[in-house]
Amino acid sequence: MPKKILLAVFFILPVCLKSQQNNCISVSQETQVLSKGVKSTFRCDIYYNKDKDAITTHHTYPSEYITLSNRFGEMKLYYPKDNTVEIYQNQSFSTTNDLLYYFVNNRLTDLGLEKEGFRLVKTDNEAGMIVTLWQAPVSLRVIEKVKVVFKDMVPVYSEYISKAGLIIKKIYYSRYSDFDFFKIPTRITEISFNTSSDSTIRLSVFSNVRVSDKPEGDYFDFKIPENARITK
Amino acid sequence: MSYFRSCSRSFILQQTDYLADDERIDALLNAAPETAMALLPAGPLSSTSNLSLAPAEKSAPVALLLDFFLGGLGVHRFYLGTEVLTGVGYILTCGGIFGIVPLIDFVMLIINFDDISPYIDNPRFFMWA
Repeated sequence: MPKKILLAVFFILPVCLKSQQNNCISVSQETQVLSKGVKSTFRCDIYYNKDKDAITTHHTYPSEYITLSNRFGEMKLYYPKDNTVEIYQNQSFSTTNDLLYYFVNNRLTDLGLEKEGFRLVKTDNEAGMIVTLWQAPVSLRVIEKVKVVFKDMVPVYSEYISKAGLIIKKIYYSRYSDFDFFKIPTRITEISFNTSSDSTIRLSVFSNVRVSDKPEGDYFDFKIPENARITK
Repeated sequence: MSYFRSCSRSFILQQTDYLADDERIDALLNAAPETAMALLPAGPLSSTSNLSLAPAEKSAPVALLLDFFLGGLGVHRFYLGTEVLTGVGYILTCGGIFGIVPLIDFVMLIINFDDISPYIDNPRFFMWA
């Protein structure tokens, strides 16, 4: 009997220890938005604590502020300049809705669609790529279907189709970076069709991806000062 | 400005495959003038929740009326949003276990008249369970 227990520990312990590793992921993000003929640029650093499912985002440009969000949908916006804080509660703010969560946790098969009530209705193979079609739940007013395309087991493209059959959004995931336990696209291009004659292009480039076992830097455990004034 | 509008639009229409043409996207972004005024927040990485996923608004009086007159067929459940199997269940059990389920639904809708959100898009046969 003790032998069996020792054997079980021998096999289980490494798995448990392994699962404790690489829990802190930080990434720098630069987003360019082209809308109505002009471009806006935003920069931020994102700190994701996988253990707590907590994300701290330090927005650095054009203005500085810090957002803290957790899996329960609580989001706090802290403005260091004014020492003020805004608090919001909405399940759509949950870190488990963030795309980073799906990539880091290797939940790439549906990119969160199943959790939102989508149902897989069709799978095809097109030129070596797997094309999946998801049916939206009845509650969605705008979206009817979502197409997600996989190449080399990672999503490369998704397309949102309206109830009228029009494509309202395309997202391209490219230039994947490989880490020990996950892959992450370092370039995400979103194209939203606003009207029949206009669209918005949003390009997010991710760099400086760091993965570690323990929180490194101040922002993983960022605490809003206690004397910060709540404005909302 | 209209140049960039039509330019970005035509690019999208020509994109036929599933892989991004990074060079063209970069060229479009590089050619656009930068505005000092931020038009849109950067926000987190885009996810499904960024789209309009909010449940459709449903009216409690309408649900009550449908339950009262057509509850045996589960019409109020379809109005609130549910699975097709729920309707099948109503029919197979002779109007929701001989009308008991729609009756309880009716009472629960009255009790929770101000907030019927738990019953919207509820896939369970017993929406109050």
